[in-house]
Amino acid sequence: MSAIRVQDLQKTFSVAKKNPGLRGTLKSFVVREYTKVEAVRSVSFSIDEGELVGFIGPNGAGKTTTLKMLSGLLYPTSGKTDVLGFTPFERKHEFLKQISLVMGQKNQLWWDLPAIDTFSLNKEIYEIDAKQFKITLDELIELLDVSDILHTQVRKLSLGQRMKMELIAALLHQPKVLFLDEPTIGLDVVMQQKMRSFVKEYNRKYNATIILTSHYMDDVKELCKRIIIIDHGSVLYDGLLSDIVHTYAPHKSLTIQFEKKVKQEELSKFGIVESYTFPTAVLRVKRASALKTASQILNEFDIADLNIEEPKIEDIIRDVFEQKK
Amino acid sequence: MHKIGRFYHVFLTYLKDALEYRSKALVYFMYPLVSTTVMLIFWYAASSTHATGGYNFSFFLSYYLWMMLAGSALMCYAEDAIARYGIYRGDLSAQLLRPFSWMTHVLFAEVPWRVMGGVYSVLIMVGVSIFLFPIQHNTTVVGWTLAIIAAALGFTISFLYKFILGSSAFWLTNTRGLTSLSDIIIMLFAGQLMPIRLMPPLFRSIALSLPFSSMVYIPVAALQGTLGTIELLRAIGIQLLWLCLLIPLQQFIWRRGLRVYTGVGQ
Repeated sequence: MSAIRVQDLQKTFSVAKKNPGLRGTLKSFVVREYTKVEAVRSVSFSIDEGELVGFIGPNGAGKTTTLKMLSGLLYPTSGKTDVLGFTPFERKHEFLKQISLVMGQKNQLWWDLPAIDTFSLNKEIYEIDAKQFKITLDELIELLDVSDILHTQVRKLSLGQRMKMELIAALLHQPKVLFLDEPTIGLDVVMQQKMRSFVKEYNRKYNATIILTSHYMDDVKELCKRIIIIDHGSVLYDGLLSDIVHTYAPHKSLTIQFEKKVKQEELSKFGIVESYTFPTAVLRVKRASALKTASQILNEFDIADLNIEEPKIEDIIRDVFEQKK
Repeated sequence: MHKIGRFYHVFLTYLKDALEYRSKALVYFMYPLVSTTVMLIFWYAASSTHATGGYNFSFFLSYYLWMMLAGSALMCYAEDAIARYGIYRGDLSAQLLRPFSWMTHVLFAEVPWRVMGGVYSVLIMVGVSIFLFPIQHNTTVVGWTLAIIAAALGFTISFLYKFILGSSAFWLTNTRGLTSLSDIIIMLFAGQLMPIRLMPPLFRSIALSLPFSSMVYIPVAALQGTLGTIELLRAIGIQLLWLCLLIPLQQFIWRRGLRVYTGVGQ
């Protein structure tokens, strides 16, 4: 059953345009010109209940704008959105009680008060049952290991600590749909890992539908089976993460450690030499013949070690962007 | 009951937040205090020349002290927070995603500051009344009842007006010019610079027909007891008319504004 349905979603912003220099300033003072910027051009997809989907794309691709429209913050220029049977922009309280949008660095926490005050406030605003509130809060505090900083003013917390508190505030009402926009931005690697484990666990435990945007491919690789790639406001790819490798990466990489020095020309007949500094060479070979090529190299040279590797997801996605431009 | 609990908790959180900046409230209070002092110095000198339409210094003293209280407790200053933080910086986004009206949030954010300003004003008025001069005030129960109603309506009108003013940030790149213009108009036509009854007839008519006099001047006149019951009822009627105009206008602007909101900064 679909938790989120998006059809031909579009968002256009009107942006003031000004030419450089004094003349441009004066002209803009008298007559201001506006240009239309299509942040989201035509986006359609459907996400089932309990799915955890990675929403990826370069800066300005339209990811955040789409999330904002799905959560009801922005009014779409055209198209249809349906989240849990609601039209997001109507922002009905019943809808808002079932969703949460977490945006990295910005928060709903009260800056000058301890986070526990925001949690108590959310209990009232979301009308959470007192018993349930305590159970959920205790569980989240334990999962994120924040019991010692609950009573510290938010402004005195580190970025990572604030992000954890932000997540607690966003999850206290146990949303069925969670929009995570760069949840690991600015966090150190240990904290990133903890955050990923937490998101995975939340998805599993509550069967929550989650859309995640992140510039860190590790987030996506670890959490999402399915990804939606967006660029210039349009969907470039929507499918399994594992399929993108077969679809967009016709090559594999052979990393070879030689016992004895060989000439680069000798390697070229097996594939494209991506790099060669004795004793290590990296060859790019066709996916279908990778095994056969590896076997030939093993027969022909003195090899200390040989690895057949899939190209990095980051590189494949970069290729997707390049190909679709 | 649960609904009241929600409002109570939200208000309590804003109160706690405001109390983190107690000294800021005192600094904010310096504006009406200083302007009141300047006005009193001026009218003290003017009243000694008998060129003040028959009003003595006692009248002016009471008028400006009541005005200080009204300026601190009834006049809202939410427009800057709405425009600069809510809309331009995008803090509005976090509030829009909660099942609680943002307008109520803004109201609850404003009330603690008004209460603190009001308390400072009352302390000064009590001090003046005990140690210097008695302050003129309404003397009847009906008068006080109507004065309190006029004050509540004045605050509501001021809040709605400032909310609309702040909401102009949905369309304007910078609202500072508009809010400064509004401040000048309020100073002139809300009776802060001089009592409206001392204005030339044309200006007096204009001032009384604008919403700004309903914000503080009417409550001040009611509290000071310079309006009779009939006049006061008529003034409250005008306040209600302004409310009838401002409520749908605010709703309309809010709905249209949200359609162009970009959530920048969040």
